[in-house]
Amino acid sequence: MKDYLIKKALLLLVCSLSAMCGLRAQVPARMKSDTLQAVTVTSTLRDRDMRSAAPRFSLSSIDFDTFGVTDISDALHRLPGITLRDYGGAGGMKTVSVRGLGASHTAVVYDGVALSDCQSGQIDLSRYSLDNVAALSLIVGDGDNIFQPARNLASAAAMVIETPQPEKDAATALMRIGSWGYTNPFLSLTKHLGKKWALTAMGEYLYVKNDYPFTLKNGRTTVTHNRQNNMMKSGHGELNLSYSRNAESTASLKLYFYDNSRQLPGMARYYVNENMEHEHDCNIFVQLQGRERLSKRFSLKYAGKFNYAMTDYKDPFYAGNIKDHQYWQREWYATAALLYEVSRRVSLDYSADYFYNNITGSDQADYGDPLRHSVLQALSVRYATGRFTAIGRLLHSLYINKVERGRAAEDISHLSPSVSLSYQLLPRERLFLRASYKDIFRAPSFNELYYFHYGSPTLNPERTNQFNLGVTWGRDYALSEATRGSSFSLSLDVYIANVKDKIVAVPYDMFVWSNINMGKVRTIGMDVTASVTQRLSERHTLLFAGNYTLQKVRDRTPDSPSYDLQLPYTPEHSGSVALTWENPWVNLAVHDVMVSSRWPNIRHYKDTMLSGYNEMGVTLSRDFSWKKVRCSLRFDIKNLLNEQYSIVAFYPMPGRAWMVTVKINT
Amino acid sequence: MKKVILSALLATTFFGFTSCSDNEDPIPEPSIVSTGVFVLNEGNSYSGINGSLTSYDYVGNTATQNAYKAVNGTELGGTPNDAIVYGNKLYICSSDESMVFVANNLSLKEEKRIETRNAAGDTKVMPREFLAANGKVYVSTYGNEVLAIDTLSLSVTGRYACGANAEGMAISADGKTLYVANSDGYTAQGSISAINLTDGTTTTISNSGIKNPTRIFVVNGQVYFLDMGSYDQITWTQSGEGLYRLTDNGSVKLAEASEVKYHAGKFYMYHARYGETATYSVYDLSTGKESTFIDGTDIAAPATIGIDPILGCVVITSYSTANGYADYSADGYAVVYDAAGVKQEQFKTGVGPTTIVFNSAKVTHIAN
Repeated sequence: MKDYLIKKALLLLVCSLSAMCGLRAQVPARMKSDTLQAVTVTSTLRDRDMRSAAPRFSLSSIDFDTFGVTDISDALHRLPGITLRDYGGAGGMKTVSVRGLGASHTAVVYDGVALSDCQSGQIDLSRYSLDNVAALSLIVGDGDNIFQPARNLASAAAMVIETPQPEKDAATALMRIGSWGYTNPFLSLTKHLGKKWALTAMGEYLYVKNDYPFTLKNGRTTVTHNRQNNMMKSGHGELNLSYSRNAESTASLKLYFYDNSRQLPGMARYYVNENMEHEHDCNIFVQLQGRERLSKRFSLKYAGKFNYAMTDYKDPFYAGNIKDHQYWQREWYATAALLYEVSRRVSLDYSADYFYNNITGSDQADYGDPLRHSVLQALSVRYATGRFTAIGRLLHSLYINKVERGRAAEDISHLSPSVSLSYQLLPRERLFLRASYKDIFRAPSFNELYYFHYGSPTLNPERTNQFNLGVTWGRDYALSEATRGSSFSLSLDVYIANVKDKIVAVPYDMFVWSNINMGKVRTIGMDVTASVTQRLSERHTLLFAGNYTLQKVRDRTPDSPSYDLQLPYTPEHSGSVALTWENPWVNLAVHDVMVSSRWPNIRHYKDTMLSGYNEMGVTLSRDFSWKKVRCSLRFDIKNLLNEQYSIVAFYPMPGRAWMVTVKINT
Repeated sequence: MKKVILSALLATTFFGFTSCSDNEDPIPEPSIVSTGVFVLNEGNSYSGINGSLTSYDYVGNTATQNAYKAVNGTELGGTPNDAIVYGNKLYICSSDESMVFVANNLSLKEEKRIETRNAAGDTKVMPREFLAANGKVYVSTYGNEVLAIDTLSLSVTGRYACGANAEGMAISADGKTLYVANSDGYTAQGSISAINLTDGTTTTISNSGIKNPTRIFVVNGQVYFLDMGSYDQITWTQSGEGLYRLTDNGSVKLAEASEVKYHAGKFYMYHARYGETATYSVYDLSTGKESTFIDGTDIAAPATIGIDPILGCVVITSYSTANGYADYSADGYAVVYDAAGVKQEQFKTGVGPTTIVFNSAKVTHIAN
């Protein structure tokens, strides 16, 4: 299976490259202004990725349309080094592990401020819709930006989500409908109030019944059922008020609201598929942030946030009684970063963060009302000449744990270094070598520390270190006058990542589990990305985007019976290719995500392997303009080959589906 | 060598059984003999591992893995929790599938699947354990009901109320009262239901000693039960787990235990508390004394215990271990001991070998 996937990926790559090289066009390039703008935004992101000293991979909202990215999980598949845990469909939880380190090591930064879930330590990305995302970046290790909160640097990897910040008054209305009742209206308005103030309001609603059919192999037979109890209704709204005196003196206030009422389908069963679980999530936060140039050499960045999250889980089937668990999480957060530009080449940053988290539950037995004070301080130095960039950082973390009842976990104090280097090999060629090292850890989540019959307050933090060596190369080129505006960018990174004191749940007895620091994991991997924009003529462009990841993520726990076996749910090979033909009629994108086989358990137990899959999609899109109004129509077919697969065992993924999007904006 | 011992044991019983009769009549006389052991493996849904049936044959000394799937071509699904052999049929219930599978006990050919549902039929209920009596197979469920499956029609023909998280059951000698252990999750407020099978009424028995009962026994009119006790809210140390006797106004602890089975006047049990070496013992009801059964060196992490009702040999299943902890995603194994605790055989099982059932067959033997 994996050979087949690689061959297929290579074949597609070769075909598309040769197709591009073989084509010549006659007409001089004269792009439409909006296309030009789009290309500029995307190429700026690509350029940033290429120059980054630490591995950085980005997708812009233009990429989403160009390459037919359908939703957040599809977007994550288009980034290298990511292992997505997806429980299926629009309502299924989606978490991301980067380079085999585990989902808890991935921070998610939303408009400059990290999101948190102190209960599980993992962020469910399914709640972020692409319509409100301007750019999505994966940063492994420490990015080039030293002027940011210490907390954004406190994880092994970060998913950075940036929402659109229109520079002019704008309105966007979008309606998306699709298979299994998928209905998703979206509205966004931006109004500038005078020269300095702007107000953006957005709201979206998603309903999906999600009763998609699936097949399950039951011994020698195959059974077909529909997913049941899988309906989801969610709403998301944001209000952003921004103030900008100039680029270096800005402030913004964000109000965020998210509410999701969803049924949980549970594991697919062979015989009786009736689940009754239900979860209601609500998340509200207020976030104020800004930056100010204090003097010629000093700049200040600051942010404050209050976050409230509620989860209400019900299972009427459980134990003959209605099981109802509610949890409330609160976070208070403040950060300040001071940037000192010592000289043209050297800049220094000191960032200090404080955050307070607590959780309370309806069932007192579950938790003893734990809370945590966190103080993070980072000192960073950046040295940049024309061709050489070096970034060094020291992060000090202090976590103070307390509980209202029971035993509190140990406090944690730790110093974490990181270094990133980038060197442009030739003065006129965008060819860069990069190397980075980061040593970081994560504090155990409240579930791991305290959850009744599961947690253990004696846990130590889970430590990671990673080494990366990469090369990136990009070029604008024109084979002729007609093909001006063509470009390509390539990247290759090889890496080693280690996890020590991995937190592993072990049985206390048959009914009670406990967490201990036992495991060791070693990842040896390689990420390759390629993107090519080949102008064919004035109005024809071929675009290619591809990535491939090889990851050997192995259990290295001494004396473990699974020593040197690949970790559960981690494919050795994964990748995606997308090929797009932009033309005056209907833009066409064909894309394919390929993932090799995975095991649902560390022992690689016989007959439990989840086979590899290959999810192909086709996107057709067309833009119309009428005066100042632009209308885009888009038609997607997801999983064209109707491949039946699961990412998580017994959580089947949807088969072939369609989706229509109508978007009107000014 | 060991095989020889077991064969001898088998033969002794076989002939012993027939020679009990002083009848010199050469008319063929049917007798029931033990043929082997079924180990029901609960698998591990969360690791993508289905439950399975291991069939161990005494005579051939062979263990067949995935025996049910091999014959029927279909899975037992997630968490098969209990099995019973009754009237030439093997009954298996899978908790996650809300299903009772009925098969021929010798051929293993599936005869019927019975969904476990509430009275209205609109909601599935989770089946837990079996008890066979009165031509019925009783199934305890997490739906606060015991279902009665008629063994002729193979359909649910009766329902009786019980408490929450019902597990093990026992029946009075007259077959009129069904006792159910209501574990009630981790609330430490479990109870015992006494169901009057004649009029269908249920009496709830609770006292401070009944916290988390999972098995129940009726011997000579006395009710005994295995209680898992409770877990400390902070340290989660288990306490109070053991074998108890129900008295008129409370319960009396007889022995420390985390698993108990009864056979011929004796309770066979082990006590495996976290961080402590498991102990294996026999409690003799006639003497009220507990004695060591085995030292346990053969058992890495005990899963359950079973005693062959005809041969009296004892089977103990075990998880395999990883880094000293029970491994819930690896095959386990079973060890066969004679009644004195001498190891006879060992065979491999599937993942999570938590139920042991003994198979038997009626054979016609001409006494000579």
